[in-house]
Amino acid sequence: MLADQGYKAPPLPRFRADLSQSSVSGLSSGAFMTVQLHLAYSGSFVGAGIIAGGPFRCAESFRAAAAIAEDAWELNALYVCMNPLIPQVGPDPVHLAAVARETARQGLIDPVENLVDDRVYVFTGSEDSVVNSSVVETTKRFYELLGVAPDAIRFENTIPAGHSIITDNPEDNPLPANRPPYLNNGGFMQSQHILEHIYGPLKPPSRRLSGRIIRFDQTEFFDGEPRACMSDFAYAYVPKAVEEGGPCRVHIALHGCKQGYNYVNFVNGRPDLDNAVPYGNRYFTTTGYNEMADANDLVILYPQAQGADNSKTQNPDGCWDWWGYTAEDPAHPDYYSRNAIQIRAIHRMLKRLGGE
Amino acid sequence: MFESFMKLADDSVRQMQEAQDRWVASVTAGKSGSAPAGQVASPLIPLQHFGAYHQVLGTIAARQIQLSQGLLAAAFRPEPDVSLVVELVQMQHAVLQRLAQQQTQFITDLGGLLAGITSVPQSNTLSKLLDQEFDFFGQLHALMSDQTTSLVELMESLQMGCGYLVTRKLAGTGV
Repeated sequence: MLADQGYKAPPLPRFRADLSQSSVSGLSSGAFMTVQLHLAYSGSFVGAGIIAGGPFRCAESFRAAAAIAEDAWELNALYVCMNPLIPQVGPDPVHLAAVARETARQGLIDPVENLVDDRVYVFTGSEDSVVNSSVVETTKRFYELLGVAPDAIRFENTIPAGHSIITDNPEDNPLPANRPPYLNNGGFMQSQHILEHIYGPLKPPSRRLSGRIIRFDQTEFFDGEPRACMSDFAYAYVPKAVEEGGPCRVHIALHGCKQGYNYVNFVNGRPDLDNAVPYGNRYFTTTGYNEMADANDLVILYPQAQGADNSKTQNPDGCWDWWGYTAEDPAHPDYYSRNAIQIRAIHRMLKRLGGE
Repeated sequence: MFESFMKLADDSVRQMQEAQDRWVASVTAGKSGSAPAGQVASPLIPLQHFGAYHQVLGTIAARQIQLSQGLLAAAFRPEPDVSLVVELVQMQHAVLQRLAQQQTQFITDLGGLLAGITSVPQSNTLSKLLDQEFDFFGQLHALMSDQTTSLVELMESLQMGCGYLVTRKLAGTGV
């Protein structure tokens, strides 16, 4: 049988999700997006898990970096928000907390006061050479400055992990590695630590999944606009009890760069279509979220970003937008607000799961 | 036999002609839609490449001038900021550390590459043998390319870092 190239996945179903109990986590660009999503819709979330991510709007720290705004944001992303030479040229949490308050005052994100009773997990591996630990420390400080109680923040910076989400899969990279697929074996499932920190004690993860992973059409949530840099499909893990009509909570898990299902590596400036990366499905199948979700009636939503590298969009690694590449007006980027194309799309998915 | 060869030669010439026609159409017509998505077909592509370099290098030069002005302003402040000097020295130290790391990595990778060519490749076919011979040049090219871009990244990072630091010291922060 020939493959159906025009295949359209079914729409995301409606469930009985309690939307007042949602949470979000992510790795790397997914972590930067986690912070943005958390702030943009803080009224919808009770907590967030940030693995190797920086604070809100840090890519706009130094506008004078280049005459063209788009270039300046990218330089900031690389050399201020990811790998500053010394911590003093990294993000300034005091300033960025003030920026967040001002952004909320302008009505572009939910009131930051919503964050006060949230629970936040922040992690940086001490061997991370992609997003420097000093940057991630500013994320912790940023949340403290916005009023999150210190005992509601779990900050981990002592594990000798490279840039990765940690798993206990023997197939994954060694713990200190800093290379794709950015899944490193540290002998525990980091996703489960995140969920337990946010929701409190949970039932142990299922040994055998009762539910299933569903593939759904993601395009309806961003109206098919190419600038969204989002894939055609996204995924969700749905426990059996939830699919049969039971109540649930939703956790959104955001992959990092080079981790989307249809990521294509660029070799010598060209997409290497003959050698598709073999790990595109691992973030939503082997990171441990699903086992925990199965035992605790959580739906895990896995939105998917995809790459583009052309005159309009420079995002070859399929990262989530945290420096403005989706902006229609790069001089005034809106990648962080409730109106941002990616944030709006993900929030629409969340609302669908709640039956809206 | 002769006819088969002639047909093969004819086909090759025809295919090359078609490829050339497609290329000419893509650089002259512009509206034909034959250019890859997202690219504007233009006979001035070499000039556009030059323009792209010009723009990026111009930005770097402007940033350097801005940085120099900032450093001068900082140096002639009535109350010199000692912390700025300390932080600039720390930056210098960080740059040296990263240069040393890059150099170590480069030498390790080059050593591995050279070790590889001392062994005679095993292959059953001429095409595979040639492939293996070209692999060395491909890997060497990739190594040199990585080393060069790493150096340029470090330069950009240093310039950005210094500019950001001096600006913050002089005028406070501001998005």
